[in-house]
Amino acid sequence: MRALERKLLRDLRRIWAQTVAIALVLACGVMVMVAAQGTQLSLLGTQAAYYDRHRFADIFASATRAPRALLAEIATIDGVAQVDGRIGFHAVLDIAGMEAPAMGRILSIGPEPGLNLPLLRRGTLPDPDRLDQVALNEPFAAAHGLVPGSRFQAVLNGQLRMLEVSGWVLSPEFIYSVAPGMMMPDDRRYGVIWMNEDAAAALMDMAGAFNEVSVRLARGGDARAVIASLDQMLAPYGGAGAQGRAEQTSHAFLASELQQLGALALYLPPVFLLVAGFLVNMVLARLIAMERPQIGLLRALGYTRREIAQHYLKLAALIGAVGVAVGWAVGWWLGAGMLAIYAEFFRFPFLLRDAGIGAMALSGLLGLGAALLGALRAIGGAMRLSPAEAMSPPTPPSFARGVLDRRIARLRLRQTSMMILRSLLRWPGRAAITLVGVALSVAVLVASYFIFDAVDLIHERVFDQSNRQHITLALAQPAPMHAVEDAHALPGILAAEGAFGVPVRLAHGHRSHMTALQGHFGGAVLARVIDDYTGPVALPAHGLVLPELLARKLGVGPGDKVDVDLLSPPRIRLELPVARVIHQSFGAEAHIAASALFADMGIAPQVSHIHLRVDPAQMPALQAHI
Amino acid sequence: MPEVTEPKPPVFAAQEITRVFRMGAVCVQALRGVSLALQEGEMVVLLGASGSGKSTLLNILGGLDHPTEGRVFFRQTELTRATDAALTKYRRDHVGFVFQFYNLVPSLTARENVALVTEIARNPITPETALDLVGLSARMDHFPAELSGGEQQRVAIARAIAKQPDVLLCDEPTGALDSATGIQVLEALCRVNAELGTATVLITHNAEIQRIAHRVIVLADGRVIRDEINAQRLAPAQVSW
Repeated sequence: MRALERKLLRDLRRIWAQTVAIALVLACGVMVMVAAQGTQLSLLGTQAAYYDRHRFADIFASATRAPRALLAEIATIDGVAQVDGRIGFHAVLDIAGMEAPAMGRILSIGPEPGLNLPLLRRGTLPDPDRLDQVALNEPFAAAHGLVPGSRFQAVLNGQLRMLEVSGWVLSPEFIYSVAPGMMMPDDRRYGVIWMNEDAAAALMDMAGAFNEVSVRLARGGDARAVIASLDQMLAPYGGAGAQGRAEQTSHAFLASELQQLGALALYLPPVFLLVAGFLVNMVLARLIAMERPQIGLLRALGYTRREIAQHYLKLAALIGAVGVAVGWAVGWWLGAGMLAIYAEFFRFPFLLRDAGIGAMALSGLLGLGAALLGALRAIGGAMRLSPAEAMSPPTPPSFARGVLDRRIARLRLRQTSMMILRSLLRWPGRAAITLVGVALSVAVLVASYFIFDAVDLIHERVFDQSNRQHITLALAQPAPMHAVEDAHALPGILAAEGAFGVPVRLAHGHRSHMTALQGHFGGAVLARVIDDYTGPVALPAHGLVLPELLARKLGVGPGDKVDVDLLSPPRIRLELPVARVIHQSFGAEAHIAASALFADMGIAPQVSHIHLRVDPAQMPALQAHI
Repeated sequence: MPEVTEPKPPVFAAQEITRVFRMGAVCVQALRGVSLALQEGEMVVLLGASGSGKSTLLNILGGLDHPTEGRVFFRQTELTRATDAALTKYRRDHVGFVFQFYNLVPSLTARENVALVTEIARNPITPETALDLVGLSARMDHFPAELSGGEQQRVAIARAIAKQPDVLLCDEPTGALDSATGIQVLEALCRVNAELGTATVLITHNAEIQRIAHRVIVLADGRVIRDEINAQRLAPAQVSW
């Protein structure tokens, strides 16, 4: 080993603490990049393979009841490659050991399903000759130990039936399985159930008909055009509006998570790499300042500028290499951990782990690049000195008495304070960078702790101020107002309050958004509309109250008119003015006074939901009763 | 017919060199028109008080610095016209430096400090031979912090001679040493000069040391005020201070 190389290793050993600190900062950047990008690519690869192998549809639509003959017509839409119709509905499940009922989404499965093929994980698919056999999605079945052959009760279209489990399945439609209105998956309380098509048709009186349709696009098919045609075809049959994959719940959650991972891999590593580059610059600048006479000596001995610069660049490269190696190792390990966590939330039948070579190569290049760039600036100055200058003590920095300095002098400060002030004035850029650095680090702390407070605030607004009910009963069909009085007869009810909600598509010009329109009864105290700034909102006699987020999406303000397409009976279009825009920290549903909504819809007052406040001691009795 | 031998050209020739340093608003004139010629194999002592311009002159002769005006030749090569790369090559191939404060690399052993030079020199002797020449064969694997001041300076001399330089430029090599140790260092320099025939320029402000040189040049205020041959050289052991 050459003498300069020995010097390099010994220098590195001497500054090991700084080396470790810089390498760790660099490793953080590399680690985040390898872990996030590796996980993202793994999930993307897995998603693509799963979607492809199990023919995940591109477009989804529902209707009230459409004849199966319509499927052949849908298949003729330009850009459609494959169509599959089925029957889908929700059911209440009575599972042994559960106090509260679970919710189930029942899907019919024909003898030869065309799209969204379920993958059998255990047992068999339902026997076509048995009407009581069902296959369950694996997480729900596993959560309840419902092995093939187990039986459970379900309320199917108002009829209590005993069902037998034939097998466990996974489906590309339910990679992220979350119940309507829920924010997180709850495998105990929500399950997807596949039932024989004949059984489902008999239960729902849908023989020769379907109420859900999935479409796979041909290569180059125009999704917007197909959605428009599909909406037109389904409109006579109660079509509720077709949606692309972007709006499909499971896909949307997965896509959003993948987007977040991409953002993490894109935005976080540069911060660490920048800091690492800055630290390398700082440490090398100090080292080079200390070794200035040695640099002069090496020049005097006949070493070229390039040879000396290479010596210090090798030092930076070694620090960078340590950081990159640690980042790769931890990133790979962390990526495996992240994939395992994602596997808990996203139900893939298999995981294709991306080798991550691209992420490793890119992070390695960026990591080494950051260290070398940081070093270049520190080395550049020293290399410009002549050997004689480098070996002499550095000339003192030039201080001059400026206007500001003379004013400071009048303050008659101590000499030590003068040293500090003059140093700040002599190097204002350095002082400003330090100031910005400290300010940013404080900002990072404030921002990270702010999240805890923000979540607490949202929690308080949503659950203490806005939604003060313990339970909301979602009725299968809207019911007359006396249903609220009937609810008082249930065990443990302290207060009961009706509400009326209807799915709608709001449109203004070319902008539209699907959401729920909540009709609020006057004097409601359990479920209230809250403005973050002004508190409870008294709903105006006419017109819509929109959260700011929704108003911005539609590009409307108070006074503007919005087209409201009701997506459930009577399926009419209303034109309603925006009465007020509110600041709502959570949710993007539209609000209206129930009386105004009933008048506009031309229907008698009724309720679709009943909010309940319940004596906690009576909760088990109430849930058993329900 | 008697044999006519052409006189050998001087190893160094300086013509009217000046050097002005600008430090902010202040200008310092370190050399004011110095001219001199140094011969092959000669041991020359540059004598003068602090600030007389000795180190500046030595740096210019060694290619570490440029004069503001004037010309400097190393044999037939004009150093004042040389590029930075040419000066680096000149220092690498022809010049050995010894500095007042040794300038050893603290993270390298004595042997490795000498190897810094032998690894890049054209025709080096081994670090072991060089260290043996200065009487340090037993201390080769010691780091500078484990060596006395005299030993460190002898390592610096070994490093300077390891490339078998044409000229040895020593800037106050005994300046940081006590008398006894200084004499050991001077003995090492005289031995190199005598045995290898290396032209040696030795800067000192210690008037006693001039007695070991072939020739003494005295500088004051950036000018040569005296340039004389020593009629009788003394061995280092014969001088004291």
